[in-house]
Amino acid sequence: VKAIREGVALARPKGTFLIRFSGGDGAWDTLNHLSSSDLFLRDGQIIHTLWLAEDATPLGDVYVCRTDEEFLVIGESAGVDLVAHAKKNVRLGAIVDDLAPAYTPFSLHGPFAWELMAMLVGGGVVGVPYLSMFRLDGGGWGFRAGKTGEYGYDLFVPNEGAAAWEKRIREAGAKLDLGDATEDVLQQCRLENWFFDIRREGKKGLSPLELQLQWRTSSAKEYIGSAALAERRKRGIARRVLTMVAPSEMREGAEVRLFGASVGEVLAAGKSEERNDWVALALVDVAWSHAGIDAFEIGGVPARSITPPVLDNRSLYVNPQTHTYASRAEAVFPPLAIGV
Amino acid sequence: MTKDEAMALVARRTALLERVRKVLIERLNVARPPDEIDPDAPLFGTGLGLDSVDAVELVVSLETEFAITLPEGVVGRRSMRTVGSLIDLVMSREGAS
Repeated sequence: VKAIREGVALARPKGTFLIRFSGGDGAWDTLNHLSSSDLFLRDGQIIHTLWLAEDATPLGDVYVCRTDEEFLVIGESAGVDLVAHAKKNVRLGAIVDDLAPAYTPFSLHGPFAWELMAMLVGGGVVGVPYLSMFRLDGGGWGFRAGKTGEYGYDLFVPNEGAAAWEKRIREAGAKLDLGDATEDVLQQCRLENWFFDIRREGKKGLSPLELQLQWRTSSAKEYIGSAALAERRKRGIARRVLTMVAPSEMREGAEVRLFGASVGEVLAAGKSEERNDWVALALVDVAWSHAGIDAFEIGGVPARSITPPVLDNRSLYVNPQTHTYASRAEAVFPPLAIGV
Repeated sequence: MTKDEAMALVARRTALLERVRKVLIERLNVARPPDEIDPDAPLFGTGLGLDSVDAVELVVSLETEFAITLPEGVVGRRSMRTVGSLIDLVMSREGAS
């Protein structure tokens, strides 16, 4: 965690989909029908969107990237085969290729991830905007994205070059005390920074309304799940996600109580090393789903609601023009923890 | 916090949420109905789509709408991350201006 929050860490993502859509207009038409956001994309630009089931629950948490006349999709799923889902919904002769078997994913996270990337692919990468794609020498792609609140880069390299890539990353990363990030650590970072985790809260049968993900949906088009979402919107929701912090352990599934009544349950929880407390995402009655209430009780532990993200990420303040990992001790950054 | 205090807080945050949504729609041209702007929605990038130019307009609009002053140094980067963090910012400045 320390490497992600203060330096740079390498992760080896598992179960990540890499899908190519080609075939002219059909590629865009198919993706537009699958994706809940409006898809207006320049070459190299990425949109972070959802693929929904017909009942408006999430199937995939995906980045859609345009590359020339094709599209690349990086996705995580709630246990669903996103390639099969895409192929089942092909329109206008689009061609859907599963690229994941031929490429190996690496990801780099941290306020100095850009510095390691610059060592690996050249200084130009520092100027790559958030949610943009770049091509890698020798094949493959890099995506500036990430779900930790820090600088993040997802790399997909051809399998035959993967061992050499990892060697290069580790050799260059040694100068930056490169850490290794497990899936558990990445999940905790998502929780702290309010990034939707389709493998946790995404499996609870909730729609973008309860999950506060309406900003990833369009009201201007029809897509898979849009009819059910409109119906749910018309009916209104009873509960909505809320971020909680507590001095002691909160557990997934625990009841959330307020003034003697049951008002919700914990969807995901974990210990925040940087805050030295516990952070949870809870599903709470809409009437009480607001930050700033310090009277909640979760499994007997006093808890309070807070506006996420719960960290003032160092990546907000690290400037590649003036900061380096080696000189980080000379820089003054705000405390990481918010509202402790 | 008592139940009455919590209810007052919820009422206050709900009222502020409506006004922040109005600012975002009317002054920042966020093309969404108010109830589709969630409290924890990110403001920038792929969230509600604001950019660095909008950030200046947002500060000016909040000062006007809420009759507060937001001097440089008060509006930290963390205050501009989500709709909810704007509400926190406004609440922290009420009575301070």
